[in-house]
Amino acid sequence: MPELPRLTGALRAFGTVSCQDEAGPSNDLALRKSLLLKKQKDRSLSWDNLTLLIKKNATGASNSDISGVTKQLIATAKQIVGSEESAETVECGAAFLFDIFKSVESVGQREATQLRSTFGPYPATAATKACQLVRKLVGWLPEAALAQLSSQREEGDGAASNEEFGRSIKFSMSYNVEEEDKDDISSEEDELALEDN
Amino acid sequence: MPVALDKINGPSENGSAKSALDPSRIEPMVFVRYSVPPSDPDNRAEYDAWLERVNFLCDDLHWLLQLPHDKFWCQVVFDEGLHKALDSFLRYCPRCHENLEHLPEAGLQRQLELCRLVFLTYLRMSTHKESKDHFITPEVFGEILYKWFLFDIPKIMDICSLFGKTNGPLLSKMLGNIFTQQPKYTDDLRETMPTILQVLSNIAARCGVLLETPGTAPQKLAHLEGAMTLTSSDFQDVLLYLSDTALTLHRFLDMYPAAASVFHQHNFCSVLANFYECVMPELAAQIKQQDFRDPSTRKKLARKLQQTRKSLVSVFHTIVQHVCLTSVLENVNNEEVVTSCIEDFLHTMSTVLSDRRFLAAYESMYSFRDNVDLLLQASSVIEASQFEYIQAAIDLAFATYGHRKSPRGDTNTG
Repeated sequence: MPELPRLTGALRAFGTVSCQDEAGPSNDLALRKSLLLKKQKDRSLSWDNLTLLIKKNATGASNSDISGVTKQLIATAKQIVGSEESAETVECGAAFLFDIFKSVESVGQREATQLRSTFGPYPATAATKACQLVRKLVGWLPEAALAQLSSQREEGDGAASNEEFGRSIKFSMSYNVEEEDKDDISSEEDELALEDN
Repeated sequence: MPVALDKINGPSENGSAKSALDPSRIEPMVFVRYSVPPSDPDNRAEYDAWLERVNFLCDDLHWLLQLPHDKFWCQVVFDEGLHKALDSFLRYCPRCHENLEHLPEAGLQRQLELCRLVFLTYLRMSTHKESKDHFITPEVFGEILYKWFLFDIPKIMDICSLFGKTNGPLLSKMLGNIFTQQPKYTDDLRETMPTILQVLSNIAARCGVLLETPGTAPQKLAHLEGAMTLTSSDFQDVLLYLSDTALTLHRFLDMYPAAASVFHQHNFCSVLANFYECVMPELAAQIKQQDFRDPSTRKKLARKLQQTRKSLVSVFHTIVQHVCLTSVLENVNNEEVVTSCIEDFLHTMSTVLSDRRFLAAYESMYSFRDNVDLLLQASSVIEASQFEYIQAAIDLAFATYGHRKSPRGDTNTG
């Protein structure tokens, strides 16, 4: 929708009582995603450690099999994270994908939401492929190694322990223009008044 | 014994004492800016990008509101990215009278959730005592709000415009707290008045009208570009700008009537009535004359104009009500104050007697006679005869321009 002219826009532009807000970084979305991945990285296994752990514990697959799949996972992560991102960010994204898909069979609602909130819009085919690749890697890992990974994930989940401010405060808002019209405008009679005036 | 946040000191890494409110205690965050919702949600890329911003903001404000008192205040004071994100929301968030029905339901729900979170964030920011254990010394709180521009007059007006219609009681308390703890905001409002008057003047000029200054009559500006030469798109911009201006002032004064005194000091009632008298007929004529591509536009703009009329009249009413009528009721035993308020009321109404369309509109929404009755009941120093000439002028104006709501009556008085 178009940006509408506002009184407060004029007060900001011509008044002297507000902070003169310079334009912020135009790449704030990219910065936000990078920060999220960095935080993710801080609380889970790094990509290097993850691949090392897989290679060390995998049964029924050679190192070259594993390398092949991890390379594909990196390539898929690149499609999801964004091709312009650094190698470090992409690896971080790959570790995140492993974390999300290691205990599910397919991309469900929960996983899709997690991906969207971390990376924004992403190609669904890449998510499906990433899930399949992670399933393949997980299939080579014994129960004990998977349990080790799971315990690390729970540490990382760290939900906020504080109650959210204002949870019990009643807030009301709607964008029902018809309703607004009922309140503020009357009727045909007012429209006639408009014409007469 | 609980200690105010501004008086808590903790050891820093090098062993020296450090205030609990210190920039080193903020979490590294990237609060993204809000953007205007896409006009065409079928453009998937644009819609997804907008929704992504909204989702990030929702997540981050949830996080912010879950922070303990001290960390919350560190973040809101020292995180400039947060200031910019909140400001972008106030600037660009559609007001509730704007149409968002084109947004998919999921997007609309996220938008509403974001509105709730922003409101709660500002509510927390305007609360100096969150609980008996978590509070800030009131004077320091006032200084923090002002020094870091957590609130300023445009932001306060945006907040009123966005949330005032449906969250009045809480918002009134918020504003009361902000203006009480930091009197400099009232000074800022005073400083803002010339710009508000200039906005009205500019809108009038776009419609080809030079607003009245004391001692002169309003003039049509034949030599300036007037409304008659506006394109339909420019005309819509002017009307929407006026509509936003009127509604913002209406909501602000509704939420914080004490500000009426500042408006009154700048003769706002007189300017407003004069503006109404000269500009509204021009706009109504334009709605009839303009050639709109979409036939529904004319009806939409007519409604907008009608909303605007009501907002302008409400602004006038709130000022008169607060400055004159309420003051009389609150000071019934103080003859000096009562006399002064009544003189003020008489003077204010006298200055708008020539604005007959305005008087008729005022009378159709509020009754002058009721105001007088109220004053007569409140004070023995007033006589009904003092108001007769005003009532006569209003009756005449109403007979000419007034429109009675149903049930229609026979009388031509208000």
